Parts: sequence; structure tokens; C-alpha cells
Amino acid sequence: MELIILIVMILAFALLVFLTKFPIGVSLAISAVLGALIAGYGVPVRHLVEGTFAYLDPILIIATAMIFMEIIKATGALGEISRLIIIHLHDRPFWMLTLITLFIMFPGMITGLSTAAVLTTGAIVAPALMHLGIPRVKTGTIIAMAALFGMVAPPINVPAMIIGGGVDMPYIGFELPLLFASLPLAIFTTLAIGYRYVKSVDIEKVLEKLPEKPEYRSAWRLFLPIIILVILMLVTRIFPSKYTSLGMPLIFIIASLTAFKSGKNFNFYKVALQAIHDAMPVMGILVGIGMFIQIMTLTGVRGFLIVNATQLPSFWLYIGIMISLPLFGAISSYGASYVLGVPFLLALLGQNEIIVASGLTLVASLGDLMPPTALAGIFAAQVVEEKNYFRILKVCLPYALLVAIYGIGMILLANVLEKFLIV
Amino acid sequence: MLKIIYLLITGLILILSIVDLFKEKNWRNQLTHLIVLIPLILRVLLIK
Amino acid sequence: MKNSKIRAIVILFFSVFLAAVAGRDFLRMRQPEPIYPGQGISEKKMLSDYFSPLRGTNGDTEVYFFEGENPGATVLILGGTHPNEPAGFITAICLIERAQVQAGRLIVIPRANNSAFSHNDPQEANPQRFFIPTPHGMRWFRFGSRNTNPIDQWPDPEVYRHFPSGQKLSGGETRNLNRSYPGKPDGSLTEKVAFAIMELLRKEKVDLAFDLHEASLEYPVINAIVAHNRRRNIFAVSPIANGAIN
Repeated sequence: MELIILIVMILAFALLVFLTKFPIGVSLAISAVLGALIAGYGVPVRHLVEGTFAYLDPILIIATAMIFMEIIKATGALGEISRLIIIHLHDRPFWMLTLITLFIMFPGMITGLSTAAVLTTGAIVAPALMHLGIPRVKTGTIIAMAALFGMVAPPINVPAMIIGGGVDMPYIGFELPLLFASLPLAIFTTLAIGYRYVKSVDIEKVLEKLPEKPEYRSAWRLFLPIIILVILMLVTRIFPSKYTSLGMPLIFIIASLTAFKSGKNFNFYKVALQAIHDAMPVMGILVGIGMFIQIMTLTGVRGFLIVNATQLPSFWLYIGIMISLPLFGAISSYGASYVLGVPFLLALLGQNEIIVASGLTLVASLGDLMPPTALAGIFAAQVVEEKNYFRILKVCLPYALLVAIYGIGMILLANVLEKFLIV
Repeated sequence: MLKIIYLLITGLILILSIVDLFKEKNWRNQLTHLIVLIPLILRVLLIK
Repeated sequence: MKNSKIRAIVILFFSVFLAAVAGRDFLRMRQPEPIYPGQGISEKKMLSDYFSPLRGTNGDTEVYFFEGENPGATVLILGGTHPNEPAGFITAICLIERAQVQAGRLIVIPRANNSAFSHNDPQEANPQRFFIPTPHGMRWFRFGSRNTNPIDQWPDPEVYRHFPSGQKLSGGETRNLNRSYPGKPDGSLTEKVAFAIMELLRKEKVDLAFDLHEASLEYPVINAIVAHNRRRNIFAVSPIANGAIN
């Protein structure tokens, strides 16, 4: 019975998205209602609404991050940064790409959200990469992948915390394993995609294409919102206390407010409205996911999945991890860590749990590339202004496979890696 | 204090979402607003 | 007026309607289930009597006292630290309604995290109430959440640092009473509740305290013991610890 409900929900979802062209969030909501109906629960309004609250805080983060991004675009700060990157780094391509990768990863590292990375630093470097000659789609891929690795990289890896919370394991000692899981892959991926385009750049030609140097009083003032953003993100983490734990939404709002009179003038109301308009589909997806998972739990589908996933024999268990974690991530990578990551870790007890959990989060992070939700892919497409995000996902595919194999490798070799990675 | 600020931020997003609902022309996209507004309303009213 | 504007009004109205339907259910969780104190009760206090800033908040909760005729030790029993683990809560209620103390003192807090009783965890699809038939009719109890209601404590930090150990936990754990001891008088609501319970332990000179829990649903951790690496030997030989932890 659970299997039937699951199939109906997924089929209904696929039909609604691809045939009737409903927005993804609405499709998730409708298929959730359908699932509840055939399981005999009627239309459980309380459950449907309750499920959405799991994503209220992420919704606030995305909405405020979008407002911030639209504002620094409007003041001209975004364009100016990419101009400076090109002028100062174009003759050292290896270091340029490595630095850009770390730069994109940074917001993901400290927020644990790949979308935060795509929408802030990803958006900042996107024009620069494209002006340097990297094609639009590949630029989007670089940003999406680096954002994914940023989400995995320490100090903040939310899936690891979620899995840890599920088995009462504190979030301690994850720094090295997570660095091992993310950094080598991140630098390799960017170089593999982008190096050949930036090996030799004809700087004169690129400079011709760049927009004119915008007028502003001082670079200091123009970049103040970004500097404030970085400082606040760091301070709240280095000196955590009641007074400094502002949270990402408030940090984005404060940074946005410092943008007034920093460069070109802008109308806050108009810019914010545009930002909410752009963020609406993703907010809808998050709300839809919340309803979908709650109904999966209500109808027993979630328990069915967990019980079957953890009882797989060992070879199939690894295959199961490789397939089901990213696949479930199509709904949400946090959801996958919560619903499947915890039972998988329990099924793998006996190997070093910290390294196993780190490997699991690496595999789970791929969920942010899994259509139809593919948050990292959708936003990457948005920042490079590519209409069809599937074209970005296609380029990501081989690298995603590499990530999955690397993650499984970490799990298999957990007890060997333990000697090097656990202090 | 932080809670009040967050309620204000939620309220701001709620208002902007409602304005965007009225500017949206495509009825399918308007359905997205339908589901997004619900949790925002309930949090602003301190019900859930 | 254009069609899209009319649709917008209809959709806005429908949103508010659905919010109202769900909201009525959510508000129902704030109504406490009746507890019928038995004859063994000698005194009833509030947790805020031990830490006054809790007064008037949803963190304040009832404390029941049983005084034996003969001198003896003082025992504290906490139910409802995690209101989604009903066995602990029901055990505490059974004691309040039935216990007779002959020697020493018994203190029972049935709803240790009172705020956590007033909502359900998203995505868990838990029932709001469960029912137990008794000779005197059907009794109902709330099935709450593991954590304090975000209405009472919001927003969560991205990373919760436990005071005073500095241990890092995922942000939502900041609302988990069982991750908040010994608490902080100027901390979050949950830390204040933990501090108040510690104050009670100190002022009432409690000799032995039990915190009643249950295993998580859906995960194979029944009869599991969570212990520190350095204390595995002790927990392995003390089945009594089973159920008193987690």
C-alpha cells in the first residue's frame, strides 16, 4: 500500500510538472493532497500546513538573500567586482580559478546553504567568468558545483548536523573529514571545466566588452554592504553569544540597508519587490516540499522507505546510498539527510561514524542538483541568465557521479581515513 | 527583541508577496503565492 | 478590474481561509489536558517559584510535592522533557494521581518543557492528541514536540553552542530542554527552564533525579543506550539506565 501511494505521488508530481506546466511548488502540494486522499486521510489541512513550517526559516533566508543580491546589483557593486577580478588576476589563471572557487564556496561554508553561495558570491563572479570567455552554461555549472562543495565544507554543514542530531552525535571533529570531502573535488571541478577557457586571455578584447567603470565616490563605500555582510557572518560565528547570533535573514537585511547612497541610487521598494518576485518559485518549492514530506510521513511512506533502505544487504546498501540520497534530494537535500541519512548511518555503525556521516553529506548534497527542484541548478541558471537549467545540470552530471563515488569511497575507507582525519 | 525583528522581516516578506500576487498575471504562478502566504500569515499572527 | 486582480483577491481570501482552518487546530494544542491530583499530594507549586523570570511565560509549569510521614531522601521525577515521548509524561501523571509516599519526599514535574506541549514538529505528522479509555471515561493527552515552540523562542541560531561546554549542535537543538542543562538565568526560554529546574534541585536538596524518556519513532534505537565513549563500561552493566537516558 505504501508503495502504491509513493508511486501515485511521484507520478502525479511528474505529470503536473511536465505535462500541465504547473509550478514545481504547486505540483508538490497537489501531489501531497492526492497522496493523502488515496491513503484515506481526506484533505488534512493541519498536516499540509504544519509541514511547511520546516522551511519557514530557509524561506526567510532566501527571500532576504535575494533582496540583498538585487540591491548590490542595482548599486553597481556586482559589476565592479567582476571588473576588478579580471583586471588583477587574468594573467594567473590557476590561482584565479582556485580563488574564485573558494570565493564562491565561502557563503556556503558559513551558512550550510548552497543557494546562499550561488546567490551571493556566485552572482558576483558570474559576469567575470563569462567575460573571460567561459560559456554561459559552463559558468553556471562552475557556480552550482562550487556552491555544492561550499555547503559540504566546514565549518557549517547542516546535513551533518541533521544526521548527527538524529543519532545523538555532537557536531565535533568534522572539520578535517569535511574539508577532505569538499576542497580537492571543488578545485578539481572548477579547473576541469574552466581552465582551458582562461589559459590565455586576450585582456584588451575582454576589457572592451566590459561595462564602463561605473561612477561612485569610493570603492570602500561601494563595497561596504558586502564587507558588512562578510564581517557580520564571521563575527556571529567567531564570537557566538546571545547578542551576536543575528541569523542570516537579519544579516542580509542589515547589509542591504547599508547599501543606500553607496553607488547608483535605487528604490528599495521596487528592488525588494523584484527580489520577492524572483524568489517566489523557490519559496513555493520549499513550501511544497514541506507538505510533501509531511504527507509521506502521515501515510507511512516515509517509514516504508526507511525500513527498506536500512535492511539492504551491504553491497546494495552502498548502491542504495548512491541512488536514494540524491534521488530523495530531488525533494530536498536536507530532507534526504533527515529521512535517509540517519537510518543509513545507523546501518553503517561500526565504521568511523564521523567520516561515514561526512561521506553521506557529500552524497546527499547532490540532491541540490537533482531535478525538478535542483535549487543549486535553478539559481545558478538564474545568475548566469540561462533560461533552461537542465543544460547546466547536463554539464554537472559527470562531476556529480564523481562526487557520489568519492563519497561512497570515503564511507568504505572510513576506518583507514580515520588515522589521518580524526584528531 | 530578535523575535520582534524577525516578525517584522516576515511581515515585510508577507506584504511584498501579497503585492506580487496582485502583479502576477499567470494563474498557475498565482497558486504558488497561495501556498507561500499560508505559513507567513500564521507566523506573523504568532499562531504557529 | 482585470481578471488577474480578481483571481488575486480570491487566492488571498483562500490563503487566509486555509490559514484559519489550520490555525484553529494549532491553537487547540495550547489547551492543557486535565490532570486529577490524587490524595497523596501535599503541595502544588509553580516552577517560577524557583526562578521568577519564568512567571507568565509558556515555560512556567506545575510542580507537585508528596511528603512522607517518615524522614527520607528527596526524589525528583521529570515527565514531558520531550512531549513527543508520551511514556514519560503518562508515568509522571500516574504518579501525581496515584502515588502515596511513606518516607522521604517525591517531587513530580509532569510537563518539564511546557512550551513544547503546545505544538507539533513539522514533517513528523504526529497526532495532536491521543486517547486512553478509563473506567471513568475517555481521557485525552497532548502529543507534543521534542522542542520548545518557536512561537516562544525564535529564531534559532544556525549552530547551537551548549552552555557551558561549548559543544556545537544543530541550531534547532537550542529549543531542546535535554540539551540545555544546567541552563542560564539570562539565556533562552529553554535555558531558563533548565536553570529553574536546577534551582529546584538545589533548593529542595534533591538526592536523586529521573528524567523520563522514550526512543525516537521509526528508528531502530529501542533498548539502545547512548553513552559517552569513556563511560561505556558503566552503562553496559546498568540496565536500569535504560530508558532514563536518550
